[in-house]
Amino acid sequence: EYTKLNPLRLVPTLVDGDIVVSDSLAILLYLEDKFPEHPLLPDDLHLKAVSLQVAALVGSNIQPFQNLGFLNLIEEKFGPEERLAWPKHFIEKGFTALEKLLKDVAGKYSVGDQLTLADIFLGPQVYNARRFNVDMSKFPTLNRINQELAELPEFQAALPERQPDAKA
Amino acid sequence: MASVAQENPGTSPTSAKLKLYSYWRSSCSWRVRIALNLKGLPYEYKAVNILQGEHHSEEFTKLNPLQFVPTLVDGDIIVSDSLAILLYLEDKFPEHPLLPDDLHLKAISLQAAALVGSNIQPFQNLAILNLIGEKLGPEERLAWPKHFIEKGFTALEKLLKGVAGKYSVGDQLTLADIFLVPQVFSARRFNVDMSKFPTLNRINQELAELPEFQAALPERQPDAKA
Repeated sequence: EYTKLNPLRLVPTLVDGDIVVSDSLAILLYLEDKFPEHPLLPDDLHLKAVSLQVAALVGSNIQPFQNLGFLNLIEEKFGPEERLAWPKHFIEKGFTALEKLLKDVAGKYSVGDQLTLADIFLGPQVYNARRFNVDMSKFPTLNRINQELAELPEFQAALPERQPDAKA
Repeated sequence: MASVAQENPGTSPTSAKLKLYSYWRSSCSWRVRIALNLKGLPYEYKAVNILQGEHHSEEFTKLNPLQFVPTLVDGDIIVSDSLAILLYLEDKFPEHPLLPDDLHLKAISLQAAALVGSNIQPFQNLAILNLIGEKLGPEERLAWPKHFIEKGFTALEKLLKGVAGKYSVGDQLTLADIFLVPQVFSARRFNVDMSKFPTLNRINQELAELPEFQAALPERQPDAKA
């Protein structure tokens, strides 16, 4: 049934009438175009590029190395200890880069005081970092931003534990 | 079609011209080279030898603390990550657009880019391969990238099958094509049988004919080794 909707079998998938979009970044950029109110990217090209770099860093350099399919593969090939060590390694490496990237442009949020894609990609990644025992005090800028985001109702409503399919 | 424009580091004028820090063999750098050619944007090629760790040098780190290659420098603005760079170029230099206007087709092009950029390439970059080779041995070092490429290409073949024309998305050159070519090149290196992916194979062959793609080939870069 799901494959009929989306032959790629990827999650998340957004359905907008006839249009089916996978991949979180592609979905977010689609939403930006289709629903331009409450923009999630800065107008300034430099700041926009910074925000997109954060999204790309998390989406390409960190998250692929801690998703379930990958971790199962690591455990199968290397054993259960590596299953914990690999994601921690990649998250720390990626966060080290992110900390440098955002240090000088962050305001209240990742890029100045506007909520952007950078924040959207950061929140879930910090949540996962904690699951893999990453010491967030090593990344003070990211930690501070994440704490600000955690206050927002829109971010709270999106938390895993608040979704209809959440398990106790 | 836009003209190919690339100058050798030694002879290029200074000024506000774009600079691209690139490694000849890096598929991420290769994507940006294609895009700059398609948009007809001259740039200064600054070679960074990743194999020798030049991206960790004091000089490069000063320019870009992230130590990432490719890095684009546009005056005061420094952008890393091939997708972020390409989207920056799309905004800054809107002529020769590399994304469709139609939102559905645009989304497909971006999905293709993300599939390659997040679901395939990260699992076959040099650092990962070295790690796999070190921990599991040389056979795994070949099997591992082959597995991820085939998995990703299976999804990409399905994604593009219904929308491809001459190129990935209809007959317009888009980001999907830019991300595809370097990945197919890698696929061949890892013994992926491209006949299993007829749409991707055909598109790739079309793209290989284009001068902008040819000029971006690794072997044609100033830092290419024999």
